[in-house]
Amino acid sequence: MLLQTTDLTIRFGGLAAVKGVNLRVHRGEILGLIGPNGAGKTTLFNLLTGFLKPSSGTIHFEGEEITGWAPSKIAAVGICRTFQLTSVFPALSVWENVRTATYVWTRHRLLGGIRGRAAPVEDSVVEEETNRILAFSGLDANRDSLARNLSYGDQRRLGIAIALAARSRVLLLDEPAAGMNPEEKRGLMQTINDIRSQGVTVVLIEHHMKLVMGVCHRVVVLAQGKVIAEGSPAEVSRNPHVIEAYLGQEVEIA
Amino acid sequence: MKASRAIGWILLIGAAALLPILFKGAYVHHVLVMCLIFGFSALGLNLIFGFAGQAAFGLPAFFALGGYISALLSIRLGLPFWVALPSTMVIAAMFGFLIGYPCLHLRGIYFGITTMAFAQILYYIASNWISLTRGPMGLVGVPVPRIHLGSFDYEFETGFKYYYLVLAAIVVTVWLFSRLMKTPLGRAFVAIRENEDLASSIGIHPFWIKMIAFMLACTITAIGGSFYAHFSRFMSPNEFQWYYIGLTFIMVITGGMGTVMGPVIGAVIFTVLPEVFRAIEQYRNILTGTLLILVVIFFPEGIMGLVNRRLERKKAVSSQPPGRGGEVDPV
Repeated sequence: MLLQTTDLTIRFGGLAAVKGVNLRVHRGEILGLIGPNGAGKTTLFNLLTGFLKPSSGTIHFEGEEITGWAPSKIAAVGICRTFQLTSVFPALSVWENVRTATYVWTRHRLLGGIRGRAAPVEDSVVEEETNRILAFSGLDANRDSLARNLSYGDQRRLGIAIALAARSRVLLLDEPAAGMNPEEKRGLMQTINDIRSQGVTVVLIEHHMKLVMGVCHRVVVLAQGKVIAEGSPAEVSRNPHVIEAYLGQEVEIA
Repeated sequence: MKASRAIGWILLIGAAALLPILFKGAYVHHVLVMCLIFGFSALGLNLIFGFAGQAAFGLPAFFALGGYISALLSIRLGLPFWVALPSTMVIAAMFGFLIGYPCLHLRGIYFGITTMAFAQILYYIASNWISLTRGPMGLVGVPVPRIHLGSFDYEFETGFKYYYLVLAAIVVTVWLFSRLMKTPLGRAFVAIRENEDLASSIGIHPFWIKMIAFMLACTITAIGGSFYAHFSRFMSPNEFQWYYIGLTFIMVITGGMGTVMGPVIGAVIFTVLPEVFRAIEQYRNILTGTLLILVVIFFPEGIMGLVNRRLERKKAVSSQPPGRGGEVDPV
């Protein structure tokens, strides 16, 4: 078990946005997180990455409890995310965006020698890694463009590239296909598979069902803050509870 | 590319070194020194505001604070300038920590306003702690920097000599500053300005990184204050006033936020202009204000922002060299 939540709950006033969620993420899988709007998917991401503190329940990463850690500390152990809206540094070039994201494993350069921490990382190593990630993400041609001038689809890809440059081991993608055209979506599916084959575990929030069904090994369905179904994409799509959550319950009118 | 940049720097420093020789007179030299002294204020504000994106309205008060610390250290404790300056830097950083700690828990404009409240507190302390600061009468007789080694005795008592002292200091500061901006720490400052949430999701701790930026900014600003105290030989609570806070912001915005040299250029412009307009005293602020409005309308990225964009365009036209592209040099 790579990432696990136990009875995770958060309340905003009287509203429990996430209640009693037991999520299990296995090493090396692509897990889909689906559910109608307001089901608590993004809230769950915010809890996993430390942007929100749970009201109760725990989160474990590789057996270590990380409940209540600061986002930067959680990122440093390898859980990175993208954001629904802007997941880039707008006024920086694509190259600088990725280079900046190497912070977590290059930051000891300045003090490393003094504090006897990790050996300093050579500039050339950082640049090589930056170039590799740009090539991998297909952003090589845009390396000098400012992030804010990229197409929406390219901005999403840059968001993923940033998370990869931070050496994430679990990548939480929040609606990565939003605003993409069909061709870009196919490219994204390929990218997600490539990321996994590099040994990165992926958790994915997505409304685009074709993408979820095509790429995910397992799907967890959230509705009104609770897990209502879990299983392979095929199982989940046949599950009556899921259909009900999406389409609503039939109401008999007397 | 690298060689041409080095040549550019050497030419700039050479030109700066020639200025007091070309333009003679104690008054002109005084203005030139003040340009560089305000350059430190602008550099400090640019670090926290231009690079780290935090509108620390109260920061320019560290100019006066640095002046007071340095003046008090040399008058009350008899420390020479060469000890007072580094001590001032350390003490200013400590003040930066104490003020930054509560303020940085707030974001955006709330942070800025809170730092300004602290600036006001410092002003009242300087005005009212008579036994220490002599209040509005100010501290007089701040000693001039002096090198005294055996028979060798040299005093920086004229504007001409003082200019080269401050020039050396600002060259070193700008050089260290531009180096810092290429380290992971410098990039972390910019990351927080650009997208604080994303920065924390790639392992940057916003609070502590902002704290480092704020403390560094306080230190740099205080250097300017220390030079000011030992140059004018007088410190009064006047220097805490809003006029200087506003002026420093105008310098940074006009020069170009988030560029290394921009604020220094802004400092030169807005130190010289009030002197030029001195003859028409009552219209001075109107002219300065008009200039600021024009800058914001016509080149919102400031003078250096405009220059950088021109250079970029030229670079793009004359085919770009391969390799490490995309690095916008913040010169």
